[in-house]
Amino acid sequence: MYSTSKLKILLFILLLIQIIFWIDNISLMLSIFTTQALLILTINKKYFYTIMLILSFSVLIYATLNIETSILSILRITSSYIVYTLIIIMINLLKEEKQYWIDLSKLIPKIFFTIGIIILFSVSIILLSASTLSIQPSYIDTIILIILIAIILALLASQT
Amino acid sequence: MYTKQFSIFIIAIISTLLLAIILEEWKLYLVVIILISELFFSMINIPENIDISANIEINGERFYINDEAAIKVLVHNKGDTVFAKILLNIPSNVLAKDPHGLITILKRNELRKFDIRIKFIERGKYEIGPVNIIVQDILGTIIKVISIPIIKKVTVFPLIRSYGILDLEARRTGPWPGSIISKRLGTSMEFHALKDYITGDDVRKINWKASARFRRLISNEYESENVTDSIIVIDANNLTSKTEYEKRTLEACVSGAAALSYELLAQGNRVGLICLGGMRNWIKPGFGKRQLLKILYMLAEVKPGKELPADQVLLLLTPYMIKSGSKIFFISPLMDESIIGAVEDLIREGYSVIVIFALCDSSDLSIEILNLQRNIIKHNLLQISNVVTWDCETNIIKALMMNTKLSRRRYHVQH
Repeated sequence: MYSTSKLKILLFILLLIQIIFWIDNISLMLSIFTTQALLILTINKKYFYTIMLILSFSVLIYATLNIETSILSILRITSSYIVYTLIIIMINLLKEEKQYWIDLSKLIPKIFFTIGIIILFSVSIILLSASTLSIQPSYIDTIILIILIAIILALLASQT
Repeated sequence: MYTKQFSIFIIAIISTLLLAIILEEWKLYLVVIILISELFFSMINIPENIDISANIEINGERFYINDEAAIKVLVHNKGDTVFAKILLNIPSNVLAKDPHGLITILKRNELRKFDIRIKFIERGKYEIGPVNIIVQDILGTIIKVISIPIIKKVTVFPLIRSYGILDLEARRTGPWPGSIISKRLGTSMEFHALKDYITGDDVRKINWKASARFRRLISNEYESENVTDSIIVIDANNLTSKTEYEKRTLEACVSGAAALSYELLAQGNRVGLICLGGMRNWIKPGFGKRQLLKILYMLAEVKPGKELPADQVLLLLTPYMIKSGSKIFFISPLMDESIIGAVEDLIREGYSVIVIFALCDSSDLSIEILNLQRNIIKHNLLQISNVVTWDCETNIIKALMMNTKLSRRRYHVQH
């Protein structure tokens, strides 16, 4: 049994990583991520998860609307999906936090597996659509995609 | 069964779709595709073959208020691997020291156990269980709830606070040796009278001073100490569980009855119990630890309310339970006027009645007004029987012994 704070730390780290991806458009995003980080710190407030979800979904939409054929853009979208999904997982796990022990040692591989699948979906669909709609992805993007697929396969293997 | 997370996904999909149509922005369709994919992936992740069994182990069936119980929940998964939330149902008036559920992944043939500690803060009969197992996907969009109908019954007894020796006189005593002084001659330490020594008398009983004075052998006679029969009546008539004061009063009455029965039974007396109020019940007088257990079980279930007036119940029950001359301890907060008639009837039948007026402290004006009415009932009772006013915060045995009318010897507190 582990404390659920580990899951919150994971989300916090992901938010910090997201900031790096938005370094060229930091002003708006920094305020969003700071709000989210503050919400994590003042956890268990009544509307914590709702606000987190709305903010992360807004970031996701914003990232998709500003899609480009750069690594940074792909990373932005992928990380937005991951944060959005992780918040939904957290809602599922932590909404009745006081009632449950959370066996994180067993759950973390499952969470990583889910996140891996999301990366696979998001990146492949984005690249596929970008190529279809004549936005040519660079070679480096294709290499990233291959690496990501490899990670997902590794995750799948660890699951079995 | 669909959950809140499923609704979140659907709302996100619909709102993005609408946004994409309104803004005529093709990029937003990508979000819709990914969200649908996620939802689909999550939905196909629930296993078909679910076969989970569970068991509960508790370190006892009987507890006292403020006791802690250790519960062990054992879960065995005989079906496919599942992501499950295991939740043990515990009553709301029990204080859970630990979370009473577990979120985990149960592999095929895995046996999993987890411990829970709970604290009982109220007396009563409790049911621990059933175990609910919620099988779901990691995103929690769809759940399947399996309830395993395993229930453990636990009884929580009232606290017994007894720090004194109950030393009373009784009009009627039984043939067995005990601690109540009887009119009969016996072998106790209490001096009764002098008599001429006759052959066969114990030499140790010869009173040498008296023998010298009377110039013949004189021996001492002692009183006999025997057991007595008694009934404790706990009066929860006209009490409710709406106010904190009434709850406190009822708990004090129950706790007092437990202490009194413990003390009377410890002295070897036969003790019975009559409960008035929301839960009307009675136990015939009996001896020993088993009787104490029976009494405690019944006290655990005492509820406030009023089904029948006290006089009707007592007049019907007491002749059937004990003989005339026996002692009746009437523990009451004097909320019900029918107690006057009940006590009158019992005295007329030849019983020795002691009314213990349970009075809890309160600075509330409404309670002070209520106390005026209760004091009128007390005043009426004082004219026909012994009434002992007992401050609920103190020891009931001490309150009884401080009443000089009732006490045979001076009260001695044991620490």
